[in-house]
Amino acid sequence: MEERYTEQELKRILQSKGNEYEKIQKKMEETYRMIEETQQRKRGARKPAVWAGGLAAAMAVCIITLGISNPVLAAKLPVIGAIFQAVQTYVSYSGDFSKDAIPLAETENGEENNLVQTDQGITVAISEIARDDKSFYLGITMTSEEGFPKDFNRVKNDTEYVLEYDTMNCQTTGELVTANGKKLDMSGELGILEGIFIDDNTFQTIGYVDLSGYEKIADNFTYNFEITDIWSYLGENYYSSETTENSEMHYSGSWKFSVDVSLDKASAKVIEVNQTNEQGIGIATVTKGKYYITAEIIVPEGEEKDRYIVLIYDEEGNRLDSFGSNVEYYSVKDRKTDKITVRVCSEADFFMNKAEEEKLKEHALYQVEVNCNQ
Amino acid sequence: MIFKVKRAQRGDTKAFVELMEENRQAMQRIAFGYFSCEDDVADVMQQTTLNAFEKLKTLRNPVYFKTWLIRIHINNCNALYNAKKNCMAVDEMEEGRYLEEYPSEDEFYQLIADLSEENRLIFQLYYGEEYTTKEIGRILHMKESTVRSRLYRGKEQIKRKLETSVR
Repeated sequence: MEERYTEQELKRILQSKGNEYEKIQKKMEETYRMIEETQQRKRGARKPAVWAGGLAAAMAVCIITLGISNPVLAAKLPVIGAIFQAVQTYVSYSGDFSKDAIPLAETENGEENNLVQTDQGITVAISEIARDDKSFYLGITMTSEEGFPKDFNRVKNDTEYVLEYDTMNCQTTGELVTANGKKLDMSGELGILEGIFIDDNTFQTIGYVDLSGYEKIADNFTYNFEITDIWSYLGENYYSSETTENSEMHYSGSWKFSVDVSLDKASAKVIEVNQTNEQGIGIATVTKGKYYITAEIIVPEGEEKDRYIVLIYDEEGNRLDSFGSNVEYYSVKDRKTDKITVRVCSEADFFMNKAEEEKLKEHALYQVEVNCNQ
Repeated sequence: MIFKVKRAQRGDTKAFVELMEENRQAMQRIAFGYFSCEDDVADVMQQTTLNAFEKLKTLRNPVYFKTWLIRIHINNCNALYNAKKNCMAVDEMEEGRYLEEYPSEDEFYQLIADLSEENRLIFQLYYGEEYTTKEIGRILHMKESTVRSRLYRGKEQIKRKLETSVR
């Protein structure tokens, strides 16, 4: 069926309504005047500085020492790999991270890192790291002194909840710093943490930082980040797209960390395929990493890649599970993937038939078998 | 933009006004996705502007000013929409429609009417404001895969409406 709205039409229509509207213009001008008047009142009310001996206003310089603020808890950092082992099967980015877990408790010189932070009654501890060619994974424990709300633990307490993991949302700022001082802003990473509640007070999670969307990532860098808000939904508000005053529980504070990362770029292998069918649809490359596999699609000139879905199947013909929220990355955990089958479907066929493999196979626009051990 | 945000955070109202003017059209378009009445759009934009001014110092990273602002704006649109909905009689409400009659000759509203409430905002952010699906996921606290499947479902909704009207 011919589409009424092309992609360009949708953009054109939804980018209209940007014209000048008189009432809106007047309202905004009124608002700016209100703001300017408020600022002027504030400036007028400020007391003049009193100068004495060359220095007037009191200026407090806070030296915040980032140290292990709770030595007792620090002594209870989990056994290395334990968080990965406990959580890795449940999260949507499932991988065998425990096999490659590297402890973060000590540096090579035996000095402790600042990996346990407590604020607002919440302790956040980072105990281990795993990495592949484009991402790193942090084993994190969040502990609440008074216990998290029962609503946070949906796996246990919500009969309508279908996932095997819970999520905790975070507001974060962060940056990646290389040895030569180059900085890359990474605020917003670790915004959604998938994990499990091991009891009412403790949430264990694997923080997944995917660097594939950033350009030119160095092999080695320091990831400095600060969590300023930890929160989740209360009651049935999890299922609602609207937020109200009492729909969320927030823990606002400051949890700052600094983690040295060495990506394992050699762990990924790129297999050249470079084949298409007569319509110009095909596969350029297959990339197999430590925990994932993905394929780069070729589409006819002028067409958008978003209109197609790439599916990958293991040696036994079973479709691989998605790896994280990136739609075309697949998990290799516990699957035989030395030889794979890659299929390309239209977006429409995929969403219509995704529960029926035979129909997907029948409607596939392109298919190729790839030996990943080339 | 980063410097402008930092100046605004230090109390420079001129910088703040410039920032709001740069984002005014985006806010306006999103609000028109909720309300067909210009007065309502004006009210919610005023509310968002005042909230942004009041909370600007809490924004830790100026790079994210626009997504932060849009998030506030969406919350305000939802709040006003719900407030108006709660004031209406039940028999005046119709599933999947906005409160007021929108101009049927207006293609913007024709398109909006064809989409369910849960898909409208995603369409506006993707096609109207050209955010990536990853950015939309961040704004709406959703997985990218959920955003993509909602975009797909939205397109299907539009197609089905067209089929129904042709019959």
